[in-house]
Parts: sequence; C-alpha cells; structure tokens
Amino acid sequence: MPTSTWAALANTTLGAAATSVTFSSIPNTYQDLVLVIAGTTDVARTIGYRLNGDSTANYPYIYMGGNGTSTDSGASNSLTLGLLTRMGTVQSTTTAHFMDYSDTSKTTMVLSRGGASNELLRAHASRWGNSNAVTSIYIATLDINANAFQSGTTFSLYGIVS
Amino acid sequence: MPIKRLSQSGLLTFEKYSSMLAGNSAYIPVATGYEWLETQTLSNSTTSVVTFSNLNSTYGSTYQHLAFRIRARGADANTGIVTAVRMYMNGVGGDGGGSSYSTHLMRWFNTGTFTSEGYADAPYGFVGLATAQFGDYAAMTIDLLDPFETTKFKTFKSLAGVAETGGSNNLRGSNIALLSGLFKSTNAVTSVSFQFNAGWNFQEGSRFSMYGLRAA
Repeated sequence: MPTSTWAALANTTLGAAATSVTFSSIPNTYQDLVLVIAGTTDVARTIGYRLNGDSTANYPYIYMGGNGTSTDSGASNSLTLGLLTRMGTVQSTTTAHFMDYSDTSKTTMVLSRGGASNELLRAHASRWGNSNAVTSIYIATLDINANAFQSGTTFSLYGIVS
Repeated sequence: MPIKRLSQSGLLTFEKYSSMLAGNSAYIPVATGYEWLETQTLSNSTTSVVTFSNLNSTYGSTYQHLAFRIRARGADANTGIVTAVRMYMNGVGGDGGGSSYSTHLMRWFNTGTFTSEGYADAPYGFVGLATAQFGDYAAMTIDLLDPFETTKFKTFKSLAGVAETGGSNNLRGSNIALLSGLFKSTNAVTSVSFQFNAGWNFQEGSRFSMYGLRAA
C-alpha cells in the first residue's frame, strides 16, 4: 500500500545570525533524510556538516560546479566536515540527501546540489566513513565562522520512507 | 459491588449513536502527494537487471510522476573502476539495442577532467555512475516526469555520485554527475529497468526505491 513520505521532522528559522545549526535526536525510522537550506551568509562561504558529532577527518567528498565564467571541481578526504554547498549574500538554496542514514550495513552517502545566484552552482557527493545510524546533523561553514548564517535563513529536515 | 443504574450515573443525556463515530466526522488521511510505492533490496549478487513492472496498470491513474532513490554497487572485482548505470523503460533498451533515448551528463571523476557527454540516439539513458566491490554504494536520486502521459515523450533527470574512501584507495572511483534523458515514446510506461553499462551484477545490499508524486 502506498505510504505517504517526505515527513517534516524539524525546521529552524534563524531569528539572528548564527554560527551553526544542529538537528539532534533524529529518529531512525526513515530510510533517507532530506535537508533543505534557504538563506544567506555574511560573505560567500562553503557550508559543511558533521554527523553524530564526529569531528575527525572522516568525510571524503567530490564536487563539480561553475559560476558562468569557469568550472570548478575538487575532491579530498582530509576535511573534518562533509561538504554540503556554497552560500552567499544573495538568497541561495540547497537540497541535500542523506541516503541510508539509518542503515547500519552501509555508510551514509550525501548528495547535494545548490548555490547562490551571485556565487556559483555546485553538486557534491560526500560520505560519512561510519556506518552508525545518524542521530544528529551539525551544519556550519567550513571554517566554522562565527555568525555566518544570517537571520531569516531556514533549515528544514525531512524523512523519506522506504 | 451493587448494580448502578445508568439513570443514576450522572450522565446528563441518554443520546444513543448507531455509528462508532458518535457524531464525529470520519478521519480521512490526506495524501501528502509524495508516496513510497515499492523497494527492492537485493539479497544476492547475481542480479544484473532490476525492474519495476506493471506500473501503468498499478499507478497510472493515481500518480503524475515517479521518483527513484538508489544505492548501488557492482559485484565484480577489479573489472573496472567506474561504469554508468542505465535506465530504460518498457523493456526498450538495455542490451536490446535501438535508439529510443537521448541522454546527457556532466560529470567529474577524481581523476581526469570535468567534462560532459551527450548521446542523441542511444539504446538507454544514463542515471548514475558506480563502482565495483572495493568501492562504496553509489547514490542516485532520479525523477521520471509524466511517465503515464500518452501525449508526451518521457523525460528524466538525476543527481548521482559516490565519495569513495581515502587510504589505499585514495578516493579512486569517486565521481559526481548530473544526468538527464529522454525516452522518445508516447506510450505509457509499464516498466522501468536499471542495469550496469559494464554488464556487472548488482551487489547484494543494493537498494532501489520507487515513489509516486500525485498531481494537484
């Protein structure tokens, strides 16, 4: 029998500039999670995430993108955050899929696409090198810049059944 | 304990309902518009083609679009680093040849250049890139638009990628891709199939989930 999905789990709208946003106590009753970010940062920033508070270099990633003038690509396994998106001073939007976050037989693979119209557009793939179920998602700039996320920026988390 | 009469129970009315709803309105769950339909998770490594069947007859009157969410890995060892994942419909394509599809992609591997590819007349569309046993399960999110419309060709788009481990593999096989395709047929889609371009089997644990999106 078809099952309604795309369940709204949590939403945060910033009332003031913030350094980070954390979703915690994430239930393990879904197959995937989808994170939608809409908003701005103080200046152009690379946005990353950590899962379950893991701050080790456990997030290999690869990305490609462009800004209308040139292309942009990279890969590494040395960061202590997974890559998520780029944001800037003009309203930007990002959708990130945390695939199999609750499946302990697989690592969580994150696919994301987003960008700011005055910055660039990127697509990323990254993974958390741990097969534990994800119980928290921490979102911050790559350098964890203080108060980078601007007031009014929204972070919405959804659960996808499978 | 003595018998207590209903008339002495303190109830102010003796209204009787013939329905279990007791004067309330029936609760009718509201469909969210995005619904999980089917999942296939492979319990072996001997499957080379994964197919969802009877789609138009089962879902055609309810849903406008279909979506797929996939984690897949090849079962072969060291037969290649990265290969494409094909999607084809109504059994048209796969290894059957033909030119019923157009497909394009932008992609970047960990090695090589950021590039794009396009095929105007192909036997299938591409929806992702995946690796074999040493790698992780690649991820794909695919949208198939208007599959049951008989006045349109069928379009699909995909975001796909895999970030492999570091260490001795040194990110080998990592890739990110944006893909799209066109099935040049106005027939309603009755089946959707997935297959590795290199002919690998899918490895045990590969997961294929299908969702339906209702029209407003």
